[in-house]
Amino acid sequence: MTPMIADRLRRIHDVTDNFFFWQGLRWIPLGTAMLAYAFMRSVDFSTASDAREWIALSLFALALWLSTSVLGRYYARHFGRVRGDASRHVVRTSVKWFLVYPAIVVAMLVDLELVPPLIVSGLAYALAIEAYRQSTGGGRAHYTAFAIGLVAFSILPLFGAAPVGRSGLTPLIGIIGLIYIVGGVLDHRELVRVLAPIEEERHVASV
Amino acid sequence: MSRPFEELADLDRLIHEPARLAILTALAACKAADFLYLQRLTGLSKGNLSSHMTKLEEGGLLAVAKEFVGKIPQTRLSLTDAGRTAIDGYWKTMDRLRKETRRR
Repeated sequence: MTPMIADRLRRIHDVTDNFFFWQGLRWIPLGTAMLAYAFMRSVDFSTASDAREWIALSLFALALWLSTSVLGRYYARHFGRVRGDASRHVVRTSVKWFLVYPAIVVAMLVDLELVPPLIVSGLAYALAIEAYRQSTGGGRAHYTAFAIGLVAFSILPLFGAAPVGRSGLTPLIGIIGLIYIVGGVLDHRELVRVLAPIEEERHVASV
Repeated sequence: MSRPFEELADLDRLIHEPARLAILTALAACKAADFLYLQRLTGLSKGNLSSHMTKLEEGGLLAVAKEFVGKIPQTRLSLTDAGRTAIDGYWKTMDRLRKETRRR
């Protein structure tokens, strides 16, 4: 077996094992909602703060519906369905719920309450993004680039180039939203490379 | 001492064929997948994929279930226990062969 075939089979295994996570377009609505929320927080609208929070909540609900219902149907119709095996990912699920998510919450509390000279939440997200990449089939070097970018952003306040505390978290939310959008598009492209359009579909597309 | 070429010749041809190996590798990574997913994954025509599916089903490695999702008929494929054992055994043999050939 040539290394190329072995690589292809490994990729087939990884994509099938993590099919949901490679459906990149699903992440775009959430990223857009985060970006919009960061924008609303950074601009001084005359809207009352409560109304702003309700608008944000509605945006996130809309994003959730688009991601699960509309885009879920799109992927099932065009790429097929895979029933995953949760028993293969017990460690990943445990690490996510008992380590990664709590670490992000703690990092945000540290940023808000202790106001350290750098953005700790950005560092926590950078680690989470790299862990996400590795635990969902590897590849996709763009996530490593995003993580490095987040680390760079997080240490900017040390040089006086960005705010810390609550003011530092608003651009962070926007940047993470942007990562969801760009990462989603690139993940989708990777998925299309692995699951190439079938002949009948190509023919229809070219008509 | 084991002889890699003989072991290579002994590999299950039903599994070793590239398209069938791709199908089995994908199904080993999940509980089940539908026909469309496997068609996109392998790039095979419907007829070719059906032919490989039939061979694997007849070999007892694959289970095929027809079902409806809403009003749309679907073909769902999964590995049988024998299929899972066979693909695991195949990869173990391949790994061993690779190590042995590197050692020589």
